[in-house]
Amino acid sequence: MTRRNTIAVLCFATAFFALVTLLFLPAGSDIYVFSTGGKMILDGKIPYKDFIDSKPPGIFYLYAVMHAVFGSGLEAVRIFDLLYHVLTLGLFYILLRRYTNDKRVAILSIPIYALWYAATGIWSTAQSESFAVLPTIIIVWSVLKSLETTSRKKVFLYSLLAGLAAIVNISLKFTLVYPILIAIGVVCWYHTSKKTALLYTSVIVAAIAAMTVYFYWWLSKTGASENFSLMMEWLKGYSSLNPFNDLRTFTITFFEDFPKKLFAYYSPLFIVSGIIGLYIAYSRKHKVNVAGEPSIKSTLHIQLILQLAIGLLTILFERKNIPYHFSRSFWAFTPFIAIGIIAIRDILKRSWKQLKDADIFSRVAKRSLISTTVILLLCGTPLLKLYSEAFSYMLLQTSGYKSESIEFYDQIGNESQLDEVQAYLKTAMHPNDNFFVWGTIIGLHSRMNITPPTIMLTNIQIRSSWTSEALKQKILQQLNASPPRYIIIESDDFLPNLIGTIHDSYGSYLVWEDFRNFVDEKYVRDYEAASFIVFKRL
Amino acid sequence: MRLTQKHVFPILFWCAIAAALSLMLVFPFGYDQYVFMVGGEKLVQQGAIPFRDVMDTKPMLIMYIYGWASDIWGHAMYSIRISDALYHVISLYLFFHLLRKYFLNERLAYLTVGIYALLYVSTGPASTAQAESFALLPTLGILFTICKIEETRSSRDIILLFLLTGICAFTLFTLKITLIIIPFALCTWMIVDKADKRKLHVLHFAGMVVGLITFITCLVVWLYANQALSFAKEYFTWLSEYKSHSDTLNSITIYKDYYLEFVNKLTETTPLSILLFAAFGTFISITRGPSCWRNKRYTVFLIGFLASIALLLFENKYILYQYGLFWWVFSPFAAVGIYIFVGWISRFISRGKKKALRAISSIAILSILLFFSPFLPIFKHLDRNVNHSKAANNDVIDFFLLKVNAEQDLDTLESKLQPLLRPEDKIFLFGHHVGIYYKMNKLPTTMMFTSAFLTASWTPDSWKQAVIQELNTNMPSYILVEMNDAIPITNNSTLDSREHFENWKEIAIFTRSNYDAIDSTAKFIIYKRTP
Repeated sequence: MTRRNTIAVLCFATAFFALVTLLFLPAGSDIYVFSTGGKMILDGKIPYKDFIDSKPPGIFYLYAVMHAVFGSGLEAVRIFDLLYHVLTLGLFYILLRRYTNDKRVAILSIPIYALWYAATGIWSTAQSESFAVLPTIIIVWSVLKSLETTSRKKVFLYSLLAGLAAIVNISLKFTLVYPILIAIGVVCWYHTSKKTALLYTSVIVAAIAAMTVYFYWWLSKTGASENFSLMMEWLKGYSSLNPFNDLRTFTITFFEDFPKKLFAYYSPLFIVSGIIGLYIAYSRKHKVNVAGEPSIKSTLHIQLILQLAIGLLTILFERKNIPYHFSRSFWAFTPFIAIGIIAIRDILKRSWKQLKDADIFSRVAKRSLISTTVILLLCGTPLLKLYSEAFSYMLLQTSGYKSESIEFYDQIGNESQLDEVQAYLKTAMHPNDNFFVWGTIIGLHSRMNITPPTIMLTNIQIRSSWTSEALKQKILQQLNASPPRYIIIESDDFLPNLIGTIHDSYGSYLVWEDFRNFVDEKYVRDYEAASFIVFKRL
Repeated sequence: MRLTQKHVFPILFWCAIAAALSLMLVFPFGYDQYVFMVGGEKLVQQGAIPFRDVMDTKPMLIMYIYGWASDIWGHAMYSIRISDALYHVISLYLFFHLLRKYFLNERLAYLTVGIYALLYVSTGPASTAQAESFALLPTLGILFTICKIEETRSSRDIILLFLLTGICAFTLFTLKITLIIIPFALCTWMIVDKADKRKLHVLHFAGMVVGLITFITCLVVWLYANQALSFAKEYFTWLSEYKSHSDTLNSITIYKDYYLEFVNKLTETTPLSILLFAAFGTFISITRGPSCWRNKRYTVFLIGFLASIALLLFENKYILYQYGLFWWVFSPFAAVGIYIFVGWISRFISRGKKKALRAISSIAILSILLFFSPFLPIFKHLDRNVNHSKAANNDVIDFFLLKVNAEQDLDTLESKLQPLLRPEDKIFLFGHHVGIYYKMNKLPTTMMFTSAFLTASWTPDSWKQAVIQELNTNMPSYILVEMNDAIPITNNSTLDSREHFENWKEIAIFTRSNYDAIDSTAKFIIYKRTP
């Protein structure tokens, strides 16, 4: 085995190991929501008709597949996530291998993405954005293949594939429509035959239009149209939160929060390397840099830059700056990060070698400085986060070693509280009893395989400042029609930047008079864990 | 002399720098500025002796600077801002000449100085006029000596340079003890790097150490002569406990404390564009060094960067103003990055077809970079402090965290105390917001004027006794006890000053037997001396 092959094997092994650590992570709050929705679909329930959420149905169907294949436990999500990312990174490697002039870029990009993804941890993995990477790579690949051929038949097939991938993306999250728009733009701009470019665009537009028509037909057939309209109305309010024409939005959301999240999430070294990589890739394209540096062939570099830049701009457009939002464009940054890391490594290696002839004092001192710099650079990668979170959970579950960081995540997470409430409910509940959770952590439904009694999964859509009265009354009607045995109210789940109010769930329960009267009349306070109050029906 | 075109740009440039720095005149005081001003006025106006009569976590030079500013420009918030603006105009002028002579070409030197000035003003009221801010000039002094010494031949000049290095190192030491890391790192680097002039740089290093020791000895003798040496010793013991307390407090997770805190604060103080340009500029400097830098001298700045990181990690506090230490390093690299990038963009626009599209995309990129530049925070600070706009405040978050606006409450306290106080009346605050001394134009009667020194678990009993003794011999007319001001980062306690006051029996009994609680605000209880 050559040295280069050994390095490649090491890189892939590192990537795989990083992804394996995901198996040991506990579930984040969103995973519980998607998992509950997915299980409801497996029970024959229909999105929008039987449950509502701000995310489109795609992510719930994906979770349904996970539970159908790997069982009802939450480990199904992590196993699926691992396999899905192995597949995604495999395809990404093939793409980079084919369209970069340096194997090292393709090889290095894989562990970079895997380490980064595993380090994003409990709350940011297995999200819509995570699963949108594979369809987006397929879209990019379809563009490159379409640009290489003049055969209309082939372009038709590639565009159909891109159209299907775009439909998957849109059904995972509406704003993930941008990759296909970039693809259409690149094909129209770069394709030598304008007719072929038109064909590519038409097929995609037709596929999306057909899907949209089918979706509306499906909504009316299943009787989900009314709830869908209510959710669209809610999403309108959600997207108008923190308006653009507000100084606070600019200073706090954009200027202060965005760079902070960007640096913390992408990590300083990856950003710095990525910037250097962008410079090298671009300069090489225009033949102004040192020969022999890696470059990216064809229009791949344009596509990657656009996917990265527009992906980041959509985060700004959404104005929420939730960490997992940043996942949507990181993959496009990885080849540039790889090029940057190779360049930094070359500089350090050159500096190290140049000291060969220096006097011993200079050599020792300068080499110590280079080593310190390497350590500092490594500290600027997501390795610390990976160690603190996923790796620490792995150690906990495999060897029983509990690091300090686990204690920290236990403090800020809800797992131990959910354990407590679940233990109580298990002893208190009768076989046909159910419960209603008024909060954002709805893990009890997923853990105990009990379906929510109303269309509401989390109360985010109900307690926001712009929620329509119709939606609220719908929940109350369902509760009145069949009052659950227990109502569980969460506290300390403040989300002022997402729902526009300063109340936590408990505060919003007190403020919403109809709901409070309903609980006061029919329920009595029965049990309390740190952030949960359990009310029992009288 | 006729004003030629050659003179117009420098004049306009330095006027613009002065104008940018003068924006600070509208900045109010933050917590630290109140402490420095009150301490400084006590040192300068009353001739108090450091450590014996005034005690703070920082050594005393920063307080003297505030005291002198107040003496020259009057008892007003703008006095230190005027001094700060003047100090920075002078420092940046010297920085410009230093860069032009030893490091960069003239354009890059101008750009560097402009970036530094904007960065500095953009950090706002609480992070300007800090010890770290005044560290710029002595740091430049060190930079000057390490460059100049190689071209100096006469032994008289060499001795003068040693003296200057010693003065600069001593100034940094007395601004903040940990700042001494910077001159040591820079001088050591020269010994390592310049193999052919090693003897000279070793001598330079030795000269700095000798100078530093000499000045410190003079300080010790002066303190001894003024019976302040024993207090200074106790102060250093207190400080070492304070340091180890920070280490204990910040050791929950490596990720959270050493990575996230550092990254969060760095991005909070340094705008995204500057960070990206500095990173890009560093890469360009290393790979294309000779075309931007004279004799690869950028390495000195890289060592400065490493030394600043070491300092920050050692202090383990991650307070916003500490990041000001990076700017003399960031600004030249950011200047190189901007310079190369702008040249690149202009070539991109002028080359090839579809010029309009190229121009539009370039303008879009530049607009985004401009948005993430220091201009927006400068505008925010002006909007807050001139228009008193709340728009730039995160009031939802403030409300959510139930933060009481300390500044507003100080105003309420001032309006309540003002009619009661006679000119000869003295006040004593048991709390952290010492702004009330400043607002009432009174000076503290005790050597500690924030309760953090008295409430830390490692505070020596002798200090507490000294305060009780001072209060007994020189009884103030009013005692103010603060509430909701727990400051665990300093005193390792989650109790607020009122709770500490109740727990410290001697002071509680002293107050109860000699004073009556007559009024209160959201944060303060006012005790008046019984007739």
